[in-house]
Amino acid sequence: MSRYAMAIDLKACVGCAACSVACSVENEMPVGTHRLWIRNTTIGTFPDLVVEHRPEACLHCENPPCVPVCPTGCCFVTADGIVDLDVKRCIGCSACIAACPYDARSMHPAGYVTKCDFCKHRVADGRAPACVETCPTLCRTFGDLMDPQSEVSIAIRQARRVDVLRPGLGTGPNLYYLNAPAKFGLVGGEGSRS
Amino acid sequence: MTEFYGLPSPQHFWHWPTLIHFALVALAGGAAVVTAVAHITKHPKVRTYALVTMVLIVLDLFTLWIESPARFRFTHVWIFLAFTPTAPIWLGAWGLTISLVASFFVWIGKGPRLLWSAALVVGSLLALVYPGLALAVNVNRPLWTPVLLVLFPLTGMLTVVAIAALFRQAWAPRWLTVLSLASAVMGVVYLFALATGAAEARQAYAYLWSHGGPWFVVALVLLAAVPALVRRAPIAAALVPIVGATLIRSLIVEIGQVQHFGF
Ligand code: SF4
Ligand code: SF4
Repeated sequence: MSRYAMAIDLKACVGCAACSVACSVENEMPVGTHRLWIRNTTIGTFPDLVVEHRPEACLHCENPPCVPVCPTGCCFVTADGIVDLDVKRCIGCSACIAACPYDARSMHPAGYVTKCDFCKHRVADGRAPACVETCPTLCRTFGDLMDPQSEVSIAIRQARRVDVLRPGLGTGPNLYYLNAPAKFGLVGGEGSRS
Repeated sequence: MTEFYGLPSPQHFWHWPTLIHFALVALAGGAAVVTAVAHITKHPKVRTYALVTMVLIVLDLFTLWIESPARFRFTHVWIFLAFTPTAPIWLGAWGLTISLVASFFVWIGKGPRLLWSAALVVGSLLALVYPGLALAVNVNRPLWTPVLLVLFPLTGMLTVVAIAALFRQAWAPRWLTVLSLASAVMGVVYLFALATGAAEARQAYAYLWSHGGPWFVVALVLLAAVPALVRRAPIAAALVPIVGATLIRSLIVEIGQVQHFGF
């Protein structure tokens, strides 16, 4: 059994949004809708400035608050740790959108919820998610955390600093941010994971 | 300074039809409780209450269907094919359905009395409690606090008792006073808990205050004024709490959708 995770090296991310575009194309998102977005924050005052380009999407939480509130049971976690949903059973009640602390879910114009699924169709074929394959700075790594030799395990091990979003909530994100540019870690974060 | 590329921005995922649903479900749940009590105590008007309950539940379900982005995909049947007791909406859907069925049989006067009593008690409580629960489970949204588990059922009961007072039900005025005061007190407790809570709660309190807080105070004043009106102006005493309770519920649902205070 695998435990899929993704890591993004913020030192290398330039905020070009190629990953977001690749995601939208791969998952045939209607114009103007996104599963993956970039938060660009300028920190400090001139001349002591740092910019954090932070791509965000579903974090495939280990304890996902979005799953137990779904009344039709269409939200579930796969054996590999992907937080997925069966859109054929979604009633568009938005309970899962309300429960997600990361704004990672949104309503597809066709009337069901949509979010990142780690490109499960590609992963099933042994390929990396579209965002990972497209990133021109190679700042994204994806793989199995149970395998110490996977790219993602190595990247996390070798990082100077590892953060997750809002660790205080106990959601256990599987999207790791490496080497946050600011001295204090992630912008608006609540602390480091390691 | 923060800028976004492609933010899905679901800050407001529930819109004005949802506010109508929250008002209607308060009436439907409250009416189901009244029918349950009337059925158990063999109140002479129980059939009328059952009919009103049915009408309110059907109206509420219709509103839910209208506002659902999946209204023409007819996926709602999955609620009844799944077993998801951790989902407040699942509990509410069953509560409303059980109340609807039991009210129907009470209305036509058929079936085992004990069964309909039990069904009405369980169904009505689920229907009354689930809206507050559906908000309070979202610990990531600091304006939806556990206080809503009490405030929402209270305001729900209040609106239906106010309607009963409007139709001159003899038992209603006394309960109108009790429920108005209890709702006002819980409204103050809600504000106080936010204002004295952790940093995120205090930021949420400031946000609430700047996005409709004065209306919250107006609603509290309306609720607190009910005991003074009950004898002198009975019609006003019935209308005022409906406005106050609906205002409080709507403000909390609408403004409470934000998150990320201090994050
Ligand atoms: S990020 Fe949001 S949508 Fe994704 S698993 Fe966590 S709670 Fe669910
Ligand atoms: S919007 Fe769809 S996926 Fe989300 S809780 Fe409702 S039914 Fe489940």
